[in-house]
Amino acid sequence: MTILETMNSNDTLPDMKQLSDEIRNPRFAGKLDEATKQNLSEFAHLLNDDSNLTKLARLEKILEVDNRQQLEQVLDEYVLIRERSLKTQQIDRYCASLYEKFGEHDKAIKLLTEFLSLRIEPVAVRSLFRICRTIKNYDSVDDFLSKNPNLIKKQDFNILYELVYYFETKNDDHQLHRVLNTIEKGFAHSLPILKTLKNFYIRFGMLEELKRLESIIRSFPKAKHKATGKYIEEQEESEIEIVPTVLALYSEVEHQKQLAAISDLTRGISHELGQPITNIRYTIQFYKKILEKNLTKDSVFKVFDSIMEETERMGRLIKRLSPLTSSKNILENFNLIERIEKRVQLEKPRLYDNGISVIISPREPVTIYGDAVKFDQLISNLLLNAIDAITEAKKVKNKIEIKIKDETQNVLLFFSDTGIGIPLENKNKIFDPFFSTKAPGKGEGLGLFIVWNLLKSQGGKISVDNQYTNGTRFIITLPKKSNLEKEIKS
Amino acid sequence: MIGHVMLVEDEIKTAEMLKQALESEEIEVLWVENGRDALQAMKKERFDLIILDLKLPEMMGDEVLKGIRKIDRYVSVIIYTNYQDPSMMQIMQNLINLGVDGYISKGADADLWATVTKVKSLLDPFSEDEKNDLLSSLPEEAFVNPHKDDE
Repeated sequence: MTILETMNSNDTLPDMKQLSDEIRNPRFAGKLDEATKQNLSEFAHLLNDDSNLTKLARLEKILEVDNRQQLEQVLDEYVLIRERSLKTQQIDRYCASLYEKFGEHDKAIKLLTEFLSLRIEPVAVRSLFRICRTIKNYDSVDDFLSKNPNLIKKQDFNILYELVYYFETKNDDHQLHRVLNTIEKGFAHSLPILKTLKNFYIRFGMLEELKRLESIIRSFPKAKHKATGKYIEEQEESEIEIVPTVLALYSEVEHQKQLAAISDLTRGISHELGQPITNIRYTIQFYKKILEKNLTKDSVFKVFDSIMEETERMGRLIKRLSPLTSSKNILENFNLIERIEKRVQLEKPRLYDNGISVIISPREPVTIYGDAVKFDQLISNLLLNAIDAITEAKKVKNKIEIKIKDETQNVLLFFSDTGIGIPLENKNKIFDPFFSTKAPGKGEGLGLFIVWNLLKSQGGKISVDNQYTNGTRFIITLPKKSNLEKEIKS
Repeated sequence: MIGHVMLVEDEIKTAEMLKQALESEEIEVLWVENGRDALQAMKKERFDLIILDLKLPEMMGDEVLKGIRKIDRYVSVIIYTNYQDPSMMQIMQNLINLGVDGYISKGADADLWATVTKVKSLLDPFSEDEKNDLLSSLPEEAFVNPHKDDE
């Protein structure tokens, strides 16, 4: 009768002498000193009852350092093949975690599935899921779930957390969302759990849910210390994989923004064109009735003039939009200081009328390679925008300041005015097409949208300087070598 | 004169044409260019009907309508706009809850005289003949003064 049979049949302690022989022979022959042999025997001995768990763990730490292989051997022979019993349930789970640690995933799974057939315990369920996730094979979980279908409805975070990964792998969006929803509803009091959930929402691109959750998380009182405690690990693990997702989301958001801008633009254009169309129709309809009674040359000319006027208005709109649509790019080297000066010169009358001084600094030439006409449009739009903002503010001292910073790859323009500034709530909208706070007829809300587009097409960007309070300051980044080049060659 | 109408419209030529067309049909028209002026006017005069553009400077049409309803719950209001997209339809839905009596679209469908007809039908829903028919269909005692005998 082998030791194992002895253990299984009558639960007596293994004979120490026999155990030593076992270990010595044949695999460990001659390699082990007496103390280690002693420790291994004791370890095997302790495996027999849950009450020994603390001692067992202490001994394991010692043996693991130099004798992991032997340790595994003992586990294989004493734990792996014995029958599961409630008397050793803690030990068995502990051994499963050792197998997991040693990378013996199949053995850990065997232990856990056998244990779980005896008793459903959330932490063990979670271990089974986690190991299957690590080896990217959920067969054992599938098998386990088919025997315990109600498990996926459990309100235990240990299980719910792993179910998220499980249903993600299974591409089961319906169940995935149900699980996330259960977590959000059931654990609203736990900050680490909510932060974990937030990372899941980011991972799955669930922007609406993310927004909702962020406001809930913000409502928690600020923690004074670095977070510790329950479910912190889950929070950290769920953070690891979200970086590429966040990047993808950003480009998705960017794309959505573009689509929204196009939709705003079309709506704006159809409204802008709707006005002259209405006017033409009303005018014709009105005078048609007049003419039926009383035809005069005067009233006929009134109709003609009105229609001409309205077509000119439509033409102006199209012209205004042309910087967005023109695809011709004439690329050349040009000194942007010179171009800015020329633009300022052109606006001299309006600048003078409103008592606005323009300061450009420094004045040393800065040469960039790009589309000079588009650059002119950019500066003109910014200038006109600044003049309008200043006129509206009605201050005594008015100034537009353009600072140029020459960097290796880019040129930075700091374009500031002493105008009315942009209220915080409008900061995100000013680059939207047809967004305007100006009085009717004073601006159609296309200037900054055009600027934004001009820069975008050249690989540049624009933002509002939040630090600047004496009006508005735009920070413009312009590549010294325009992106447009690629378009022309292709 | 068959009614007193306020036209709230910031587009000058549109307003001028509509005003003249309505006036040619014996309708008195006050034209204002924005919501603030519209609400101000309502405090001074009573109107039978208001034609309200949705896209207005400063205060949008739906906001103006809320203001109008605070001052006069029963005045007829016709919304007109040249927005054609579904999001505007949603705003329209909300407006209907605030009490809107009609909707006229501008832009490519704009029809001046159809608008005038609509306004007239709201101001004066019955023709003379229809009024007479209606009155004659009532029982004879309907307009007898119950206090006549007391005199």
